[in-house]
Amino acid sequence: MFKVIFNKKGIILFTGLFFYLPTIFAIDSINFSIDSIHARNWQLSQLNLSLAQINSTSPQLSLRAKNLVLPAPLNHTRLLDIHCRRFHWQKGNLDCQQGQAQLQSKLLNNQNFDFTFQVKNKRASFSINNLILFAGNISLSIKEKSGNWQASIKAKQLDLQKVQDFLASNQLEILAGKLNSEINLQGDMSSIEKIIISALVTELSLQDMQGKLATENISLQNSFTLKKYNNAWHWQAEQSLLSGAVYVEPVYLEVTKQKTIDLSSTGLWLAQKKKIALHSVTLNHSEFFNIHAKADISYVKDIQVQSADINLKSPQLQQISQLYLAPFIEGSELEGIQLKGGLQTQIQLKNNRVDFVKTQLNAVTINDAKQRIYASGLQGNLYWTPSLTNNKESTIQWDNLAIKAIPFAPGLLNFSMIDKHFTLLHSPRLSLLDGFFDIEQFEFNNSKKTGPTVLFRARLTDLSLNKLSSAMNWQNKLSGSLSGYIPAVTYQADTLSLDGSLKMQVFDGEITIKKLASSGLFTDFSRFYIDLEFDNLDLNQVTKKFQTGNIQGRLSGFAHDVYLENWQPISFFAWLGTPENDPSTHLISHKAVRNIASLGGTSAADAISRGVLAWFDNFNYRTLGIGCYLHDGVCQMMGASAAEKGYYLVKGKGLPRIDIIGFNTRVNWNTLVARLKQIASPEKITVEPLH
Amino acid sequence: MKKTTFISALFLTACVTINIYFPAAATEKVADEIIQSIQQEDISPQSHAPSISPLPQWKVSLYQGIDQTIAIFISSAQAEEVNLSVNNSQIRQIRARMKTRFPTLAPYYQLGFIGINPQGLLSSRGKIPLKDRNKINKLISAENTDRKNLYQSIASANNHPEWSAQIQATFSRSWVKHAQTGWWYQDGKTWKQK
Repeated sequence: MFKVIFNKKGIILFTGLFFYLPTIFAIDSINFSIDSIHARNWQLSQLNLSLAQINSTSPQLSLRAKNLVLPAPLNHTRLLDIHCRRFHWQKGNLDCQQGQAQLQSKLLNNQNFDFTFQVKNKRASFSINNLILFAGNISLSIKEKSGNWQASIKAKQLDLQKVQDFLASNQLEILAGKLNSEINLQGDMSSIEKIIISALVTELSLQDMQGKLATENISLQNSFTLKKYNNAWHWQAEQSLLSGAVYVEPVYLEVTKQKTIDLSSTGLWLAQKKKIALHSVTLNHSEFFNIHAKADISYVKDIQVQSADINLKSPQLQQISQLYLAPFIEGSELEGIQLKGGLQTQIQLKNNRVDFVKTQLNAVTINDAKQRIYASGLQGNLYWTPSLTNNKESTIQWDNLAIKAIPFAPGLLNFSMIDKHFTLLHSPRLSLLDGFFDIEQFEFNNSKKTGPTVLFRARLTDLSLNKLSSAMNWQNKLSGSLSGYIPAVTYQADTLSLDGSLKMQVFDGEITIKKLASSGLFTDFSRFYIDLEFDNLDLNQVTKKFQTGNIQGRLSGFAHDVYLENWQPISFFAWLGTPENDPSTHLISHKAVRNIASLGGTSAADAISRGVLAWFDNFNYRTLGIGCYLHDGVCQMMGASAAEKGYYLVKGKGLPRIDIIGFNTRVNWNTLVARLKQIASPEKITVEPLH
Repeated sequence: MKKTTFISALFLTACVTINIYFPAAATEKVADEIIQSIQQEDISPQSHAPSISPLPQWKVSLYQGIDQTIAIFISSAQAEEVNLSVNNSQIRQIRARMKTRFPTLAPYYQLGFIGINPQGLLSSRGKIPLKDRNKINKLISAENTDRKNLYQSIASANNHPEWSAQIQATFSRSWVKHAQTGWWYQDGKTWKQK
């Protein structure tokens, strides 16, 4: 158990001194040279023992040794140039107090430090203090008894930048940071049985090389316990982000002591079976949200989540929306969407696949900064499953709903969500603009085989155009209604196309919308394709509504292949004019003549304001008409019929007869629109040649 | 196109070898116009509509007739040496997006968090505050995607997809030319402030 090996000189000196010196001299001190001292797994070598103050009542034994080899797990560490100012060495015992030594380690640079050690019977202890490492202070204490040991390592104010330099890590760049920690270990000579770590990281600023992770001045509190339990390791961990700023692409969080982020977990690690039983994981971000999960994970070949149950509860969706949702949707078509209210979600996984999702909405509000959608008072239970098994009917209801400023009355939808298939159930009737929107069928499927497909049939009944005008904030309010049947909708190449037609009963006539298609409807660059048919509109009502000067008669026509970008016409072919065999009264007012004349860019407008024509309020006309083929910003103009060198916009009848003839066949579209806008404000009329 | 028709007609009877060169001057003009419209002017589809010729109608008809005749013999590629088509739906869409994005980009140009790199694209630079990092990264990514698509779309619209790299090079010079005072651009590997 205890062995001392003397060298030959030491033995001679020691023997000589022992038998001779005391009888002749009064000696103050004695030195011994010893090759090595073994105490179980401890070994001191090349020793020099000094016995001083021999004549005093308490002589002092001190030790100098070349090195000290420690038992496992510190057997890779050697202490050099050991000096024990107070050293006790009796049979079976070694005791070094007030020691100083130099550390030589593969991992650490050479360091001078204070130390003590004691080997006594079946006990041993060893401590290091004032070891200066990474600009901080490290102390180490080890106690061993009958082959079982306990170690404690305390680190104070370690500079993490220096730690990173030492570790030579290229993944992270630590800009600043301090570490205070305590590690307690327990074990026997063959293995570690228990590890307890507590650490406080402060003022930590770091970033990764890709710029996807960064922190600024964060404080992070950690505690971790790992304990051997039969053939498994049981762990318990708690981490708290107390303050500072964190960026984990794309999320940026500022954490304060009042709103910390806390993560705790417990579980079992079955190393031999290559399994992890995650008993509990809880993530809290202040009162914003709470995620609780448990799972069984295997890593025999690949990581396999055999089963998992995740519960998310967020009573404050507004904060979640701002902190976590907004960064993800920034720059996408969903940018600007904000949520309020509460939400609870349960997700179940089996064999690496999501098996069940349930979401409960509680007074949720959806607000869009771009005013595409608004919904409030949303309540409902949403279910999703990958197959029919366990699927439940989802329900969502709202107090307020508006799509593109078009308001819906409070309503309810029932639907099912299975894999990539969404089906609306029970053919709902929604109240809309004093009319009804009956959705007979709506299914959306996004399978790999077919791509996104839509099945949609719906009927619009008596939607108020007046309410629509108000909702869209149109200057001129329309009267009448909109009805129609949409037998099918197709979705292809990011374009939504409606078959069938919508009919607007308006101005005592009918406007039919056909071939309606749109792409990028909710983006910053929406495109529309549409065909319009105008049938027998009452011009009296139309002209009153748009203040163009009264015209009596009827109006029919079409606008084919209308293409709009951002609601601006890019191309179309349109004609509007007096229907054939129209029996109605054909009268046009003085004001209307002036306005139409101004469109043609002639000086006729001024001419009719002077002379005999100025005496008449109205004129009879045979036909009127205007047409435009818009392409590349230019309107190729047409009229009611051809005239010499031009076209009739109004072809007169009777006396006084007035014809309005347009001569410019190619008109700049912007100029034409400007003129049309001016018509609504008669006092601003100016007549200039169109070019 | 019409300016060249008489000259082209005179050469119809001769044996002519026509080489199609990259229209550098026209591209530079287009780049300047597009960049200015993105950074300053209001853009609308109509604003790019061709103006009506001020010539008398009989002259226009005559020129159009000659032009159509010549077009039978000479492909439109030669005409593209002087005119670069930049008015189609795809280009309008890209330009509209870039125009919408510019007011958001502008303060970051000024703060030096983004700069123009030698490829005519944007790069992040300087110490970007963490709270702005995601926004800036996404802006740069979206803008660079649009710029690349714009160069390719212009090349394709003119039936020369292989011109994309040359168009990009031309644009890269124009981006620097139209950079405002205080903005950063990369000259080789060195960042310089305008």
